[in-house]
Parts: sequence; C-alpha cells; structure tokens
Amino acid sequence: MSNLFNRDRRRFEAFIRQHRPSLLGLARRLCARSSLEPEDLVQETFERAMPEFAHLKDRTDSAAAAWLCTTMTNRFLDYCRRQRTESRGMPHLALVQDLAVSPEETQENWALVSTDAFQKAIERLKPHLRDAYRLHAEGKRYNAIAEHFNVPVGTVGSWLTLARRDLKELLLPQVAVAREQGATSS
Amino acid sequence: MTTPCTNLHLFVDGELSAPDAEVFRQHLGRCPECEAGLRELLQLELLASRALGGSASVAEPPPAKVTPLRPWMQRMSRTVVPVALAAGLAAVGVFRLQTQPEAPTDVWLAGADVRTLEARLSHPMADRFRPYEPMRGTSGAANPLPLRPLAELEEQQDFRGIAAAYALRGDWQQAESFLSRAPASADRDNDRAVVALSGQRWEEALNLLGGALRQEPRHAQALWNRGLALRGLGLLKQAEASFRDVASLPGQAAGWQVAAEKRADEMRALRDAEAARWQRQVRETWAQLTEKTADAAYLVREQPAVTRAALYEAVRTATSANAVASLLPLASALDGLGEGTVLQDYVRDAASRDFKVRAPLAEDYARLVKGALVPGLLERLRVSQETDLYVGALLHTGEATRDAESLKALQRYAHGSRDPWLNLLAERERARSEEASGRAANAEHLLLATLRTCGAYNTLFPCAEIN
Ligand SMILES: [Zn+2]
Repeated sequence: MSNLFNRDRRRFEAFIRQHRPSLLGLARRLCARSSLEPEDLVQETFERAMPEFAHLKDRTDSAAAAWLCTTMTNRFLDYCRRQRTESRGMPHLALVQDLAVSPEETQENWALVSTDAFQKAIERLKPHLRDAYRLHAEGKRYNAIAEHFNVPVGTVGSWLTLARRDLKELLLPQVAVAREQGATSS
Repeated sequence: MTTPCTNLHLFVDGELSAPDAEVFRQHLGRCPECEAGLRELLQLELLASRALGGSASVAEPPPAKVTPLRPWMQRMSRTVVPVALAAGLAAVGVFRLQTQPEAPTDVWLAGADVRTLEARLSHPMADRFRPYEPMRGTSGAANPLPLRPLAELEEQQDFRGIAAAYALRGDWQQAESFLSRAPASADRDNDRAVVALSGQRWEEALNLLGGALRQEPRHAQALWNRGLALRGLGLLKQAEASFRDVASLPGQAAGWQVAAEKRADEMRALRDAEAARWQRQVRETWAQLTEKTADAAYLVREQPAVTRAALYEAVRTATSANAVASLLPLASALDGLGEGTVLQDYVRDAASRDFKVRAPLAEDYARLVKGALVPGLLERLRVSQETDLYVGALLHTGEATRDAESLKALQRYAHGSRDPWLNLLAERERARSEEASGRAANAEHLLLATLRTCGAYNTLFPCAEIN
C-alpha cells in the first residue's frame, strides 16, 4: 500500500528544494537594506503554495516558478504598502489606476517560457549585453561587472536594462505562439 | 532629475543605497507602473536564475536565524493545509523541528485535564478517561498538531491514530480521509461512526456501530457511541440500555464505568421527564376541551400534536352525541394541517354511536385517562362495539405489548382508521412487544423505521412518543 502522506511530503520537499534557491536569491535582492528577512519572504511563499500544491505539482516547472514568483511579489508588495502606511501614519489609498498588464497576465505569460527558450534567447543578445547579463545572473554586483569590462558602473546598469528589454522582446513573441498552439491543440 | 521609477532595475539588483531603497519601496506601494514593471522583471530574473543555473541564487548558507516553531505551527493550523506538506516545509524550510522537542503524547492531547469530544475513539491513547466538558469556544488552533510524531505514525501506517489526532481537534474531514485508509475493523467502524456523530448523522453512525458490534459485541467505545446515536434519534430507552452495557463491561477505567452509569441514569430521567410532560400537556388540553374553555385556533396553531392527542381523549370520554359533535370544528382544523379527513370521520362516527351503551364505558375510560386503575374495564371494552375506547385503553395500559391478540386488534383498528398517527402508535406497540419478547434488535429496527415515517410528517405528530 502506498504511503500517501510521506509521498506527498517528499514531493513537496523536492518542490521546495527545486525552487527555493532561486527564489531566495531574488528575495535577498528585494530585501537588501530593509528589515524584511528574505527567508521569511520565501517561507511565506511556500506556505501559500501548500493549499495549491495539488494543482502546482502537476504543472510545468516554468508554470510553478511563475506562480511562486507572483506569490512572492505579492507578499513583498504587501510588505511595502504596510510599511508605507505605517511610516506615514495614514491608511493606504486604493489605487484607481488600472495596471497596463494584470498580475495574472504577467504570470501566465512567463509560465509559458521554458528555460531552454531562455537559453536560446540569451545567445541571440549582442555579445557585451549577453556577457554582462550572464555575470549578473551568476550573482556579480555592478562594480564587479564594471571592473570586468573596464566601464563605468552606470554603464553596467544600462547594459542590463537593455539586455532585459531585448530578452523580453525575444521571448514574448514565443509566448504568443505557445498560446496559439495551446488554443489550437485544446 | 530622476524620478523613483527610473530606479526599478537598480532596486531589483540590490544596487540602491539604504535610504534610496527605502524611498523606492514606499514608491512601489503607490506606482502601478513600477508594480507591473517589478512583476515582469522578477519573472525574468527568476527564469534567468533557473536557466543559467545561476547564482543570482547564491549558494545557500544555513539560515542565520531560527524562527521558533511553535508560533509558526499555530499560524499554520489556522489554514487547512495537508499536514504532509507542512511536515515537508518544516523539514526543508528555515524552521528547525529539532528546536522544539515534542512529547509524542501531545498528538492525542494527553496533557488535557478534560475531554471536549463526547464520543469515544478506539485508539487507546485517545480514549483515556477524563471528565467531559463541551467546547468552550476554543478550537483546534490552541492545540496544533505536532508534525513529526504524525509523520512517524504515518510511517507505521497507524491511520487510526492520525485520524484520532485530527478528530480530537475537530478536523473531521482529515479524520475521515485517514480512516478511509485504515484496514477494516470494528475499531475503524467505531471511529467512522464518531465522524458521523460529529455531523449528527445518527442513523449512519448507528449502522457503522451495528457493524462494529457484530464483530465485537463488547466493544466499549462502540457501545458508548451507540448510546449517543440513539439519544440523537430520540430513542432514549435504547440509549439507556447501551450505556448500561458499557457500565457493565469489566476491565475498563473506573471513570468510564461511572460516566456510563451516569449517562444511563440521565437517559432514564430524561425519558421520564418527557413522558410526564407529554402526559400533563395532553391531560390539560383534554380538560380544556371537555370543559369547553379551549382556544381551539391557538391550540391548533401552537401545539397541534398535543391537541391531536387530547382530541382523541375528548372524543373517547364524551358522554353524549352533542359533546362529541362539538369537537368537529377542531377535528377539521387539525385535519387541515395535513391531508385527508380522518379526524372528522372519526368524530362523526363516534357521534353516531348509541350513548346509552357508550356513556358508561366512556366515564370509566375517563378514569383510566386520569391515571386510575379500573379493574375489568379492558375486558368490557374488548367485548363492546366501542373499539376506539378499547384501543385507547390498550394504549394506556400497554396491554398490546404483552398480548398478541390485543396487538392484532390495535393494528386492525389503526389500519381501518387510515389515521397515520394511530398507525405509528400501533407500530410502536409492535416494537415494544418485540422488545418484551427479547428481540431487541428487531424492536430497534422497527422503531427507527417508525421514527422515519413520523419525521416525514414534519411537526404534525409527537415523534418523541415513538420511543
Ligand atoms: Zn514608479
């Protein structure tokens, strides 16, 4: 007889082990120089994942990662708003302005991008943007990257901004294609 | 001059100074563009980290800070999450189970000095006697599940143990799902009955307990729970018997023995009190009807069941055709609550009797209703043509439960009258005669069926009288 309890537990452990390092990396950058603990942010994100795990476990890695990312972003934004309210001593006013792209749409788009597609896209960047972004993705700070290329720190910032813009432009049309395929195959 | 919006990338890359980062976080809370930009950017960065195996994610040092486990688990227990996942998160998350030694007995709330669950679970650790005290508004949140011992129970496939832990915290859904994985046994059926009792599904509980007791006739928990189910159904006499059975079982904690005895006494007291209350109400209403002081509209509206019972007595004890006929409006009002015209038909039929013969019998019958013994009356009524009086006397004396011929007479009359309440009473007397002949299981079966029928008439009849 299968041991469902421990099977579920092990699956969830594996799920956490798979996604936790990259989430924690993001969380550390978001929480830098704040009173918010990156571990808490990640922990809360996985707590939110528990009631959803029945669905999450059957989705693609990219879809699960996109869900976790949205959830963590929401937790983080909550924290920012709470802090803002506290520091100003006044209630948070609801935003009347609509977002250009809804959080759900953002998540759904990125859920369709595989790591393979990303690797192909990054190969197509201009060499200096590609190399700068790679160094950044390895965890290098701006000044280290600046030193590597012997350029001012400000230049690194604009290279990374450009690299991200190009990556989005390369990846998002594929999302549209993936969506259409999804639509025709269903 | 730069607006905060231009700092989005620097912020996400952790390149802002502390004051600038602070300003940007405040800005984020009110700038929809930056919020959307942040969402997009974080998705991209996460993908990069996954694709490049990168260490935007940084090799992970052990968590600097160990958050106490207890507050976290209390927070967890407010949301319904599969305990397996919580155990998984606790194992690889920042929380350290080791920092919180768990006494394994906490699983079944062994430390509590009262129990809040009225029913009895089969797991010995969950069935230790403590005085019962109904929940005082506190829920399972005060007693979060210790995850590690639970995982060990799972390892040992002790599903009943896990189910018991959930049941003690009022999480019936989880309890049920773990029970469905336990191997079939009297114990499992008992515990499933406890789940049914929690939802007041008395008959379901009774069926499960019947199964458990067929396997193990002296199953203390099942007998106790049977008492609870029968009480829920209003079968107080049977409930009393079940609790007496528990009390008589040897080799159990004295606390349970005393508690079972006390329950049995309570069932008897409750039954006596209800019977007395019913009789008093019927007699009072009967008196009002015969003395013509009754407010018929009020009676029909407020207490139709009592009024119906009183109407039968008023007709039976009336000593003239006029007195009977005066009850016709009340009879038709009561008929109007349900279907048909059985009460009007009965009143008309009784009014047409020969009162030279009926009046003396009716007077003696009235003495019987008031609780007097009238020797020879039953026999006089049996040989008379006043069958309704005979039937009334059978019901008052309980003769039909002792004598097969009397029971047949009662059934014949009830059937012929097409009066549903009289038929229910006839079934009740049949069940009681089964019980008197030592066929308690048959009796219970009959009573349950009769109760179901009675319940279908809504509040028209006093189903508590089917007991
Ligand atoms: Zn902005």
